[in-house]
Amino acid sequence: MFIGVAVMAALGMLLSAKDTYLKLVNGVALILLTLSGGWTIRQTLIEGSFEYGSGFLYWDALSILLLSVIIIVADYVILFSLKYMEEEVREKKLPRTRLKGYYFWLWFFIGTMLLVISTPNLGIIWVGIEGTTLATTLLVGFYRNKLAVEASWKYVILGSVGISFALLGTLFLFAASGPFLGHSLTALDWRALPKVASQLDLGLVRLGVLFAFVGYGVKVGFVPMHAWLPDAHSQAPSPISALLSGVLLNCALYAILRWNSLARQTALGPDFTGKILLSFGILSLAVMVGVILLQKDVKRLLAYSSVEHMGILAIGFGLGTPLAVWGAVMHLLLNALTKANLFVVVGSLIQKTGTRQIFRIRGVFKVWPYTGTLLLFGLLGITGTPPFGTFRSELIILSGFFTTDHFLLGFLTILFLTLIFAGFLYHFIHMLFGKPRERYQAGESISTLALGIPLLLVLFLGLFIPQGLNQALTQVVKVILGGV
Amino acid sequence: MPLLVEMGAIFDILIGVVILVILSKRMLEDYDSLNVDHMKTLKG
Repeated sequence: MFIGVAVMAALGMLLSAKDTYLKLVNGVALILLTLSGGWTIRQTLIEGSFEYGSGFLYWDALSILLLSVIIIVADYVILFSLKYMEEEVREKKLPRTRLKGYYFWLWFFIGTMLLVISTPNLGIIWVGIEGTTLATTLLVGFYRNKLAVEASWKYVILGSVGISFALLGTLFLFAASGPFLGHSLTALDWRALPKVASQLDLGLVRLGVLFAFVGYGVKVGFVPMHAWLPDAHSQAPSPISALLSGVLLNCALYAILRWNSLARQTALGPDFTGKILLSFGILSLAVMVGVILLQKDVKRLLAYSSVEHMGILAIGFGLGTPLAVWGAVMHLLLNALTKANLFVVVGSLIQKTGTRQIFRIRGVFKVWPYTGTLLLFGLLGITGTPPFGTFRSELIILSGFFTTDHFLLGFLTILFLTLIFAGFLYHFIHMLFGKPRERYQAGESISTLALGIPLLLVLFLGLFIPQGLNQALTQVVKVILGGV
Repeated sequence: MPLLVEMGAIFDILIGVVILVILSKRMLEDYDSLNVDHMKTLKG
């Protein structure tokens, strides 16, 4: 249903680029998306799982977690886009007709992500993830200058190479499961696979899992496959960076999680994939310390912070204790909200100052007090400072180290997180409280504060977790740990 | 592979080729060559 909404919206955007038309069509599409998505979420929560078209589309607790993240972030980002892109056109950075292409690819992108989380088939998940790469390539290169071309070229090449690894992995799995489930769609269905998991050929499954983890890992942005990520995030228009970082990385991680919960039930055992994820996570954190401390570009800073948070998530899922996985699931939700919010706030800041260089943005608090407040809260949220929800989820993930006797790794992770916190604080304090430059145009309306709604949610979830949410997250943990 | 997945893969490749062509055209406009050695600005 909502995939249809996204496809229709994408096509509808091609008709006209008038301001009122775009606002109308986007508004209608967002309302339809939210209603149909919300209905699916509700049905799934009531029945435990929900299917459509005799099982061709299928949702369980993990799918609807991603579905809710996509819907919240898409609503927020598209509403911001309408204002942001209008401003870009007014400043003569783009001709108005190009907005058609912008919204077409944007909705196509949302549609492919919805496909990824709605299908129960590992093959179609692959098709969807490759679709997200293609849909975002031209969005990354939207400004058509030299740097944008460089970033989008790097993105499409690295993304496609990674994704062909994942295709190879899917092929190996198909070869392994074909004899048991027949050479049809069922052989890649993650509902049917666990039943035959213990009989699958060990060598083929091991190769398949390795290829799939590395391949999708490129899209998640694990070190050392993260090279495309900061370039794409820094060159794309800010609303697109928010979507890339808030939901695309999580969708790729979702593909890994489906493989993970399958691999846990094969003869490989739960430790094999857990160790891969854990090493990806620690490596990502370790490398990010250096680049975050020395960063000069504020959007690249946020992009690297995305790599860091994907590392934290990988650690949580890799540790594999129910509590750590609960923390990681919670962190996935909170990180998506915080990061989307921060990219949007920084995007509007960049539009005001006209630069992405950290050392040229100074005294934000004095000139634009509302944006400054949002930025300060964003800083506290993204670094996991209490009372924000991210503190709670990171703490729960870290506690997993000590219940599984990984004391050294736990110590290192805490050290890395502290250093990253210091780096963020250093950059942001200068931006917020330095001496403002003369040429800034001061003044903004109080409505800017409306941009902070997702952060408000993160703050709320740090203070209080509703019973219903806790139950839903516990179900997600069950799905991930493989008790389907 | 199942037919549906193969069709999806073909569709992706089709769009992928179109996008690569568009990007190559932009590279030609900006750098007058398709040599990626020119593109080394984004680092760090």
